[in-house]
Amino acid sequence: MNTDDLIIKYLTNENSAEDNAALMDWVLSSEENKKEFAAICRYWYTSGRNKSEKSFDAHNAFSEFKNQTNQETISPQTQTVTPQQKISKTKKSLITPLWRYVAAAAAVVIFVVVSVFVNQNNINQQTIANTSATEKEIILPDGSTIYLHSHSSITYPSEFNKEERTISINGHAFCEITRNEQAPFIVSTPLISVEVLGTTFDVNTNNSKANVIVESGSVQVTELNSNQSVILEKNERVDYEKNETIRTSINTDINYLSWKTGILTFDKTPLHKVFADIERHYNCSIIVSNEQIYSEILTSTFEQLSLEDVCTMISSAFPSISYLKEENTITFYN
Amino acid sequence: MQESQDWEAFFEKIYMRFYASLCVFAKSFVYDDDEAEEIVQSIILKLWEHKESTAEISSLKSYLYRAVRNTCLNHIKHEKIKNQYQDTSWIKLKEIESEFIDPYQNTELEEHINEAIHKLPERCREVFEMSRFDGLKNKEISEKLDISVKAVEANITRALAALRKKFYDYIHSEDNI
Repeated sequence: MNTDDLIIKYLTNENSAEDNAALMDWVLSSEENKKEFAAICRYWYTSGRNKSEKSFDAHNAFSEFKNQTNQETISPQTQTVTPQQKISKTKKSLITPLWRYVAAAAAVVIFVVVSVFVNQNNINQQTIANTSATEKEIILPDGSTIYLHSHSSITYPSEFNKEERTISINGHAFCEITRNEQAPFIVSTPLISVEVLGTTFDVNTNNSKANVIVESGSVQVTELNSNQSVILEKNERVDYEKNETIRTSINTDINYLSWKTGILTFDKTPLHKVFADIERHYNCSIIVSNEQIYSEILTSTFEQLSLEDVCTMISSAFPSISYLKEENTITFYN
Repeated sequence: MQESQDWEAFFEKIYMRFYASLCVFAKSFVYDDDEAEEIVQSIILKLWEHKESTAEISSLKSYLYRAVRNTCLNHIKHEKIKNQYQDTSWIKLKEIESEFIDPYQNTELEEHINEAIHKLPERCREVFEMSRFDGLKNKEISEKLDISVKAVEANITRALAALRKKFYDYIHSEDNI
């Protein structure tokens, strides 16, 4: 195929991946080609400009914009609000349709499913390992939903038996279990097992520790080695370390589900705690130039924001604090 | 610029002047009207959130185009991954193309181009306009006009070649491409 054809099919979006690769080779082979390519694209877009613009209604879009922004009262006094108020005020309207869209897309993207089928009494055991950076939603045969965090895996049967529903999880997952009193649901992990009738809870385990937080209902957590067990109610948690005694405590971590919801909430929270949650959520590291920064107090909610946006909002909440982002490390300084 | 009515008027101006062309620009990446509008709306909303600092933006127009470009590039990168359609060259080409040009800068060029389109042979113009303005796929055009896909491609090639010839000197005399 000649270059003209490749460019035209590129512009009409009909090129195959190989065609585009060939075109890219040509474009990158000289400055002249690059200019030529850009120029042809320019004719293409310029030629369609007037007509294409007619399909977009600016008046309509502007009324929509007014609707969205009117919920937030605009007033000249905006200048004088305290940093905390200012940041909480802006939180809602920043969640634009695009963010929601991107978040939804992110929820389903990049995962690799490794399926291992083991024939056992005609029931297939399936293993799914989520190797992506985003969570993966898995619906089990009984309608229960498991949100599998990145780098975690789950094994479950293609069909549950009547007395018992058993799955195994290695890593971090949030479980929404469909209620069935006849068949208890058992999540087995390397160190503990969690038995429930119907509830929602978060489980995070590896070979040396296990952590369970109950969002609703109650669960029974059993340590496999000693067979010790505890009952966990709503808002209680277990943080078990190998060979220690298993005990429950009240959960004070309001952001434990941020990996699933994308929402980080802070209520008069000191920045050292804010930073810890951000580090966990975005898998980054945060350092400060001055320890005093840690004691600043923040009240705000960040919904589905990028790390950059979160940092920008924090530094705009505290006029004396700025930040610098280098790869995965953020430095806050004053 | 601090009074609320002023802000509203300011944003109304942004919509009237830039909205449609920003949408067309976004559409050149995402190939979908609704998605294009969503992206542009989200960018203007973001600008609203940070309106106190708009004074620091030296050129609003180029800021908006750049924001659309970056958001769209991010968006298609996500989309590509989602579709598990690993056409990285396509994304790269989009980057190169949009790095070099602001397709909405030059009304003079636009007039020349429209004039040139009018001078194209009938069938050639018809095919080009269906492809370019109505956004039809080559296959759809071939069915509509009852000609082969090859013939559709040939006509588009011919149309662009004519435009290209006419403006060869024009583009080579420009420094900004």
